Amino acid sequence: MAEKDIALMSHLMRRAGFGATRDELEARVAKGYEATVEELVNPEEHGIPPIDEGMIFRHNPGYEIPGGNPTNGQAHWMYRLINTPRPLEEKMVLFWHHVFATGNAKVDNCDQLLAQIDMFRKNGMGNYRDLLVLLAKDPAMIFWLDNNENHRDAPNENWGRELLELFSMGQGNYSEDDVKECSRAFTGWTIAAKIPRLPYGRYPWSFEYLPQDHDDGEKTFLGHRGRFNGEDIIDIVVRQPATARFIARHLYNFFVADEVQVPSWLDVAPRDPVAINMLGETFISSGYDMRATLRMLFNSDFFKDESVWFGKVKSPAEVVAGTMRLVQDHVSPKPGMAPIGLETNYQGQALMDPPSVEGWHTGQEWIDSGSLLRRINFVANRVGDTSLPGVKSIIERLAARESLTATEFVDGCIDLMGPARVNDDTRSELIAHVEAGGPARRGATEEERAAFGRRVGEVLQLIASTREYQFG
Amino acid sequence: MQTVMVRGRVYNYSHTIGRNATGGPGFRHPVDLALGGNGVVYVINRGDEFQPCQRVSVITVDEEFIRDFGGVGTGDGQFTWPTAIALDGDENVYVADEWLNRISIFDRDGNYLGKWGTPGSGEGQINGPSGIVFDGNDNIYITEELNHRISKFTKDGRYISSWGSEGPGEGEFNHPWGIALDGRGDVYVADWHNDRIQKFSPEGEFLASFGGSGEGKGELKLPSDVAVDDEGDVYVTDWWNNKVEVFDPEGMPLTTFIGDAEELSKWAQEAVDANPDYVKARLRVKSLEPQWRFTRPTSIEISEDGKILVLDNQRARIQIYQKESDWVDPQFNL
Repeated sequence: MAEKDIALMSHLMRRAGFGATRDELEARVAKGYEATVEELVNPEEHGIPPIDEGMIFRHNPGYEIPGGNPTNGQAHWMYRLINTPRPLEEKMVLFWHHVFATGNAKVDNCDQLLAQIDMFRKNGMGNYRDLLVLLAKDPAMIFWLDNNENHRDAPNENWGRELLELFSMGQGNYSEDDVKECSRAFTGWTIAAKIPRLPYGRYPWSFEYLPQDHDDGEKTFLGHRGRFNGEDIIDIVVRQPATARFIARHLYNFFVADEVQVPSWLDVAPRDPVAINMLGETFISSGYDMRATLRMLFNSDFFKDESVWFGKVKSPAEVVAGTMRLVQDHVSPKPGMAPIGLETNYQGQALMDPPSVEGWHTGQEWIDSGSLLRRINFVANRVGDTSLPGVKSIIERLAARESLTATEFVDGCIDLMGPARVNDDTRSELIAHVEAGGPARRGATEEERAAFGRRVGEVLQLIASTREYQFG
Repeated sequence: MQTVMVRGRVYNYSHTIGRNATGGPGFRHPVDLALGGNGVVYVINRGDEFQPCQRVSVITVDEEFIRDFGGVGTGDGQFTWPTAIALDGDENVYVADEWLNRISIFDRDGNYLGKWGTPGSGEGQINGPSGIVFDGNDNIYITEELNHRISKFTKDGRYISSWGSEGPGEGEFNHPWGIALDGRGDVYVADWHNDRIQKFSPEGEFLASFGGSGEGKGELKLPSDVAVDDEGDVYVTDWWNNKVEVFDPEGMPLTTFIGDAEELSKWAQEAVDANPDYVKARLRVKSLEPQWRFTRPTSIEISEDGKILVLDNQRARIQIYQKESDWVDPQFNL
């Protein structure tokens, strides 16, 4: 199997998922790149089952209705990120959570956030127009952006403004009057009072349309005039070229290469305008179909190009889920998941609790001195644990080779850890380190084999602590 | 609930006990219950990692709190992932822990007496004990979720026999969960991922299977537990479908319960009364009907006097129905 094919497949699985073990990469290369893309964008049609929810809730009943504190909800979602058989579907959940950032700090109902996340799961690769309608009716979003306070006689512009600024067109493409008219169209879109949490736990909110609270008057929006309701506004929004560019740039930033932060998009041109155009055109020509747009993205030359490999700083969710998949820990229900779910918080990405509606700043802003240490320690602690199945598998693959020079030993570790990529200086230092420890032999006795495993774990830890490993 | 009359049986909803609580009166993710003498009910609480409050709650069917015992951990008398509870002939309390793969034993006052269980898949070992029940000789049957089998031990942990393996066929299991015996000692198993109940002789000979995948009457999706009354009718907590299915002794569907807790339990009412904002918040809700219904019913037991106790896991309560005897229906034109 060609190393280049493995490397390209690894790139695809890091970006369209959360990485893959060597066994999975080899199976996918045997299947073919385009066939893998097709399976990723269309798992249901290819017979890929969803994760077994019953198995999750049977063993973790606290995950289903986690209540106000997000700990159980974060553990629940992280378990899915690690174990989903549909990695792109789950990656798109994370994508939409970035774009349509909604936070438990205000909502205080993590179960309602999980319902929104599940809505992204079911619709995130479908039609963007339909997704926006569902988002506008999503109870967590309605409460988060105060649309339950948006009344016919007292409009609240929070949802209307963010729909245009952060969820569709981006700054600079609409006027303040458009915001006002947009908000009027969504009056009466609210949530029904829910059964309170005491004494039997949380019950869900439900969307409620109150025609008596809806402003049915004529509105002028982006040059169109009519007695618009919310869905009419969304129909106009999705047709705007600015929306296609905005979604294209988000997709590029999330899947291909780090862009500047969203507030700068008005002033800073995309790093690859051709790619943005191609994505935008597919988005429009497909009728706003995310599946078609993603298929085009992953099969494009700009995505496959080696210049974008290992060029994106991994998000904390990618660090944690990717590491757990690599070491194959928590791949079935077991106690101790809560600290894994909380780990992204400590690295700067509290899932379902973003810092604001703008979401997280990505790219290099994931890294500061505190988060870097946390990222390195999290990965190093796990890849150095030679009892974990994924680490064992790496050790066994290396041990199966007849004899290993220090160079081969290091290259083998780099290869089996992704393949990862380190620069020449780092590689030389790793080789020198291994040479200083004497020949790396598998050995015959149990003690020698254990020592070999420990040396593998040690080199994996060193790779995890390199600057290069922060990129995916 | 209106009185349900079906093929010679009469059921009435009685009352509900419990509320959400991490200690004292109330439950947190209760997963199984067992009935002692004098209306005493033992409930095992699973807790969770945010609110780790694994314990046994001892209460009465009239909602009096007696005590709780146990705790979180791996030490003697502690629980990590408790799954099932049963009482021996002396009303000693046996608790299965599916993570620690052991059975812990307490007396009725909660004093720790001992433990047994060896993890593994070999004869006499257990993996994922998820349901336990005693027979008339004080031997204990265990459903092993991860070994996909039923094992029988003496109450002090000596291996007697086992049957079953993973699969969809007769006598095979897919992550079995709850277990019950009828008056003849026949064994009923909630064959969870096969969406069915299987019935065996006390020696493990396959006798019957009923249920089957679906949401309709007599159909099941991931059944969690089973109980049999003294007339041979079979009650199944249909976990994923949030209902209880009732079958006659031949496995024909009789009726369905979906939860009827229209009135709050005593402890629940106390909690609401103590929080005036909740009294008001309940008034603004258009319909409280969703609160009547089951959410993940996990365990079911039937008392000698015909009380059917349904453990309503996500709602931290027990809904109780009464199978009536000698019921005479009143004149219809009253």
